[in-house]
Amino acid sequence: MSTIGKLFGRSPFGQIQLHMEQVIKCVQKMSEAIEAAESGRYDELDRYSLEVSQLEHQADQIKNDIRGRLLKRVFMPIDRAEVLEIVLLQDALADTAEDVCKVLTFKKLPFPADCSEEFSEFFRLNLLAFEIVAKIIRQLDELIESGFGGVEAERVRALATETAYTEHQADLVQVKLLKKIYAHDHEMSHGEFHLWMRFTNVLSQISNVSEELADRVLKTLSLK
Amino acid sequence: MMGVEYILIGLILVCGFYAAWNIGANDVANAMGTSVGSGALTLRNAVILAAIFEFAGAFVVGANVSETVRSGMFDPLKLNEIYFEKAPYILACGMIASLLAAGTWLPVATMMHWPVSTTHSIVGAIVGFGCLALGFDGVKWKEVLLISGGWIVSPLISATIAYLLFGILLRNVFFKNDPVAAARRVAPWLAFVTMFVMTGMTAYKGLQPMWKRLKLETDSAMFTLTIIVIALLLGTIAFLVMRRLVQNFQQGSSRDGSPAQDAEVSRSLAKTAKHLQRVRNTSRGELQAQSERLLLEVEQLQKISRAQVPSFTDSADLQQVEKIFVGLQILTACLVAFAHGANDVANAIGPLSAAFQAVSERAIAVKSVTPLWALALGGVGIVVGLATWGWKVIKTVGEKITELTPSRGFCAEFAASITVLLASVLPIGLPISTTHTLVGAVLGVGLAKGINALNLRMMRDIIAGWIITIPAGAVLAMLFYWLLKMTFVDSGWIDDLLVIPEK
Repeated sequence: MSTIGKLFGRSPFGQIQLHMEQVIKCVQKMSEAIEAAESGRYDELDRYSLEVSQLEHQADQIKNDIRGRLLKRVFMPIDRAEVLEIVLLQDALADTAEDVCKVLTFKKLPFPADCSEEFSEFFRLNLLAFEIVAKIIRQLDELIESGFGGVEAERVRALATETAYTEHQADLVQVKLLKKIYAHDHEMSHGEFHLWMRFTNVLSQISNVSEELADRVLKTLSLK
Repeated sequence: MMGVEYILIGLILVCGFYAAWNIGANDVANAMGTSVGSGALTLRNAVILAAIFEFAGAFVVGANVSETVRSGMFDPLKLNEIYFEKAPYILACGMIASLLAAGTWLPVATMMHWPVSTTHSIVGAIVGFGCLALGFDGVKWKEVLLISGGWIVSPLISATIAYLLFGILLRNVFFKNDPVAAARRVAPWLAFVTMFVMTGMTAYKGLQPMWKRLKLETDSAMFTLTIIVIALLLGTIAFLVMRRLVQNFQQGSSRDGSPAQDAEVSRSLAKTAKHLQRVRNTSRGELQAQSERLLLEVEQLQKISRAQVPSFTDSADLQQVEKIFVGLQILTACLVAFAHGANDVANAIGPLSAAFQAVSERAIAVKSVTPLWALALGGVGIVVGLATWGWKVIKTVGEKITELTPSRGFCAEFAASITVLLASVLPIGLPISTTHTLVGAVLGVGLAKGINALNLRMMRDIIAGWIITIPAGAVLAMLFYWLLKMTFVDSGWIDDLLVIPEK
């Protein structure tokens, strides 16, 4: 119709943020599922687990839409591959949330009383790392607005450092938690013990992938 | 049998007006759509401003490019050598045919969604007519090459200007700790530069007729000085008006508590750390120990500086900046309309005035100026096109390009209008496409990381548009010319009008 009108391609950035909102919903449901498992409400846990699966599937659909926007002929302020990596990492977060819920539904997991402090700290730090990186993605439009530089970029840099620090702390707490779990090994069945290992391992992926995502966004901000 | 003369003149005026209408209906949308899309102007105001400035541009500067369109591509006097006393009517038929060719090709191309421009169709048509009437050698291919070179160069120039301008804005406004204050500081200067360049370029061409009427030398130092003084004066007025307008803008109160932390500071610290690391890694002994110690200190400093970066978003600040640029974008939108009028009116008026002059004087003038009434007619045609159809197109374009914020729109429009005005006031006024120049400028802003996503397929379409349009315009013009020649010249209808040139 009009030359200038047709010049503008379909931007993937709004969709990235939309995808992140979906991932946030997944992680929120996952945290509710973990709380349900901790307090022994297993029927609720099954319901949450199903909901997370559905949310993850919806996130996948948004992801596919973003891929459709990354055509070769569209020119963007950041590299196509970087956009794709950001979306893939966000997707990995949703997948992890789904996995955590699935692992919890395998078998009733006993929560030893003396581990609860370490566990809730470990749980909290993983969620915190995720929240910080979600904040980074929510600031993506300000980054575009300011041409990926200046104060906005500094802010994202500060947030990325914070994510990395939180992830490190989560790792330290995980070690403490695992030590206590090992102390309980004689009280647990092999299945339960193995499930604890799987569970902590998968849950720690939330902070690991969050850190990776923060790093990826950071990489797109060139140091001028 | 005087009727045929009036029929010819009527045909000329109608075709010229139709071509001008076409320009107003389709092309103005690209110039004003960016401002409507960014919300700088309402549709109503955009149409009113476009009408005023399109007309002014056509009337004041339009003559220069019209000359090129009329006699730049082939020498009309050569027609005398081949067609003798029939030459004026051959020229008239050819020019009407060119207008008709452009007038039929444009709607077809628009329907097929090809990004073609009036300029390209009319140039193609006139070249086609020249080829047919004078033979291949009759066309001034050098000039045609120059014009087509202008089509390639103009988007590149506007892209470069837009890229640099937006880069400057990023560094001096958006990267700053307090973008609102920075924008308030920069905006009056930008208004000054815009106004200075615009009036300077316009006055260079626009004042020449007046100076000639006053019997004053136009290449004297006084002339240049007058232009500079006028441009400085108007620039200063724009500066003062802009400063008043932005006085009330304040940064969001959100940042009051924290100390000022410029992005420059943390960047410098990061650089310091990087260099110290290099020193540490490549040295040994005392030097290495010292740099290690310094590095630790720098890392400490970095921690302090990071703590001072507020972690919340302040999109309100950036919105304030965009509001400041609304005023500037209105200014450049007017400038684009003005430049568009100045350059594109020639597409309708160049052929029109050549044909009219030939028929009314029954001879091809050696050298003539485009009459003012013709420029006015072209201006009115554009305005009528805008009022009857163009506003709809502006609306659709505006709805489509909301991505272009006022600051980006300002950069793109500034770059495009400067390029188009420059082409209009060159010694040989180059007919270039305002739309394609603006496309180049928008790409320039995109290259400076200013736009989310640009559809690069447009580039291919534009180049394809050039390649298709010129032959299409040429072939259509040949067809219409043949028909008109059959009707008017070969049938002997105009024989009564022939003036036997005195020997």
